[in-house]
Amino acid sequence: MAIRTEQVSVTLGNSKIVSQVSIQINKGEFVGLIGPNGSGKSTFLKALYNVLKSEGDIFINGRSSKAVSLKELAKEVAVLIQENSAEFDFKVEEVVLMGRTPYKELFESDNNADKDIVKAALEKVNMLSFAKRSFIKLSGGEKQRVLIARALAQQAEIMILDEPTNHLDVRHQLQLVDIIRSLKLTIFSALHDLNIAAIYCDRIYVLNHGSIVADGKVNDVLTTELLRDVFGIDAIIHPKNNSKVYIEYIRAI
Amino acid sequence: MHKLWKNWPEVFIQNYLQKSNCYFFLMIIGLATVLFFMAVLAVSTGAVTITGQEIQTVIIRKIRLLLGQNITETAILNKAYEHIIWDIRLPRVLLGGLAGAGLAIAGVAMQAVAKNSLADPYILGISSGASTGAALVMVGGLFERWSYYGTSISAFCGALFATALVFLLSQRSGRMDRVRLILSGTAISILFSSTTSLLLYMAKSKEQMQRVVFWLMGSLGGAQWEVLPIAFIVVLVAVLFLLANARELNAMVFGEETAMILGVDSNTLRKHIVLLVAAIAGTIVSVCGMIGFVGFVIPHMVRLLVGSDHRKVIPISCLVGAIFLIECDILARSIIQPEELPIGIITALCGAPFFICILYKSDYSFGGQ
Repeated sequence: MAIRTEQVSVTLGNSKIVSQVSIQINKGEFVGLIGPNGSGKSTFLKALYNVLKSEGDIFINGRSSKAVSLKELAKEVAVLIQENSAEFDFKVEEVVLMGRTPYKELFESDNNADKDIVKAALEKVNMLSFAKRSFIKLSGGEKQRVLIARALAQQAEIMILDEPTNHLDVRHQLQLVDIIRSLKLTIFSALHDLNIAAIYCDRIYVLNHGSIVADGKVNDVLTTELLRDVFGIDAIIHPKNNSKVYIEYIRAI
Repeated sequence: MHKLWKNWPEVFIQNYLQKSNCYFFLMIIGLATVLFFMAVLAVSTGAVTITGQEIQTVIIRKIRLLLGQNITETAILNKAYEHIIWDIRLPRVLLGGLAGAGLAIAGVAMQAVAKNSLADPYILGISSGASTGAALVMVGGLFERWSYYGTSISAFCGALFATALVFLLSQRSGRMDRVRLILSGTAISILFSSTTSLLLYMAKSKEQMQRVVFWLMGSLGGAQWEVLPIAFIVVLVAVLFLLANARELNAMVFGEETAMILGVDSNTLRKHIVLLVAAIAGTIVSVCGMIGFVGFVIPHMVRLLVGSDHRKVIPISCLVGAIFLIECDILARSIIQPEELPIGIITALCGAPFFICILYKSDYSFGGQ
C-alpha cells in the first residue's frame, strides 16, 4: 500500500475543510481526486504531504507520515504544486537540481550522480534542450514539465499532483498527463478536467464538502446522478472500452 | 558535515574546479584581488597620503610585535604614520569590509526569507529598530560606561524587537503574506525612526545631538580595533550559516510550500535567519550607524551577474558588498577634504542611480540572466 489515510480531517481557522477522509492507493496505481471548486481537494493533498496539520492517520509506504521528518518524506513522496517563484529567476537545471535537496547534508555539493539524475529527469519530460534556459521565461506547459523533472529528481516512488493541467491548453494538458502516466510511479492527482480524469485514471475519489462521496472505477463513479448532485451539471455519459467513459456536458443546473 | 570533512579535496574539486564552475571561481579570485587593492587604496587615501611600501612596513612590524618577536631594525617610519595606519585607517577599512559584507548578506537572507526582492533590513524596519535601541543608549547616557557593548546589545534588542513585530504583523491565517510583510515593515520602520527622532529631540546637549545625527547618517569613523572582533564573529557566523543552508534558501525563494515538499523545515530556518539578520543589523548599526541601500542593491547586482543560486550569490555578495562599502568610504573621506561626509549619503547616492538603471533595463527579472 503506497498511501493509506484513516479518518483524516483538516480544520482551518474555525471551519472544517476536510472531514474524515479515508483512502487507499496501491503501488503503481494512477488515482484521481475530483470535486467541485472548494470541495477541499488541495487542502486534503496538503495534509497528505505534511504541509498542513491534520487529525487522523496518514501512512506513506506503511509508515505514519507524522513520525517522519519533512526531509525523509521528500525522498518518498514528490509533489507537484501550483507555486512559481514570481521574482527570483533560476536556470531550468538549477530548478531540477533542487529536487536533490532532501538527499543533501549541510555544505554538501552536487556530484556527478546528481547531474546525471537531473539530465535523465529532463530527458524524460523532453526538456533537456532547455537546461540552460531561464525558468520564469518558459510557457506554462514547459514550466510544469520542468517541475515534473524536479519531482523525478527526488527519486520518490509516489507522486502527488495538485491540478497539474491548470491553465494549460488542450494539447499541453494531454501531453502532460501522458508524461505523468509514462513515469510508472504511484500517482495521486487532483484533476479539474473530468474527461482527463476519465481517460487516465485507474480509479477516482470524488470529494464534496470535504468528504468522499464516491470512489471506484471510472465508469462506476462518473454517472449522470453524481455529476448532477456533486458538480451541478447535466451531462450525458458515453461508455467506452476498458470501463472508461466520455462525458458530454449539456448545461449547468 | 562529516563527509565534507573527510573528502574535502574532492568536494573542493567538485565545487569549484569543474568547467561549469570555472567562471564562478575566476570571479571569486578577481573580486578578492579587487578587494585587496581597494583596501590598500583606502588605507593610503586621506589627508596624509601613504604609500603601499609604508603600509607594508607598518603591518609587518605590528604583526611581529604581536607575535612577540624583537624588532631589530630601527624604526624608519615616524610614529605619526604608524598611528594613522594602524590605529585609524586599518580598523576603519576592515570595519568597512565587514559592514559591507554583513549588510549585503543580510539583504540576501531577508530577500530569500521574505521571498520578496524588496526586502532588506532597512526597508523592513529592522535597522530602524536597531537605531532606536542604540539611540536609547547614546542619549540615555549609558554609552560612556558600557562602551560599544552597551550600544551593540541595545541595538541588537531593538533590531530583534522590530523584526518580531514585522513578522507577527505579516502573518495572515498562520502564513506570511508577502504584501503584508512589506506594508508592516514600512509601518514599523516609520514608527522606529520617529522614535529615534524623538529621542534625538530630547537629547540634552547639542554635542550629544550632533553625534547621534552623524551616526544616524552612517559613518565608519567609530572604527577601533576593539569593535572588530564582534563584527567579525557575527558576519563570519552568518556567512557560514547561510552557505550551509544555501540549497535550502534556493528552495525557499521558490516558495514556502516548495521548500517544505523538498524536505526543508522552512519555519525553523526562517526563525534562525531572522535572528541572524537582527544580529548583523544590530552589530553594524551600533558601530556604523544607518548605512542604507547596501543590503538592497548588492544582492540584485550579484544576481544579475551569477543568477539566483545562493551557493554563488552568498560568497559573491560578501565580496561585492565589502568592495562597495570600502569604496564609498574612500569617497566619503576624499570628496570634501579634510571634512568627512556621512557614508550613508554616499551609499544611497551611488546605489539609487545604479538601481534605477537596472530597473530601467526592462528585461531585468531579479536574478534572470
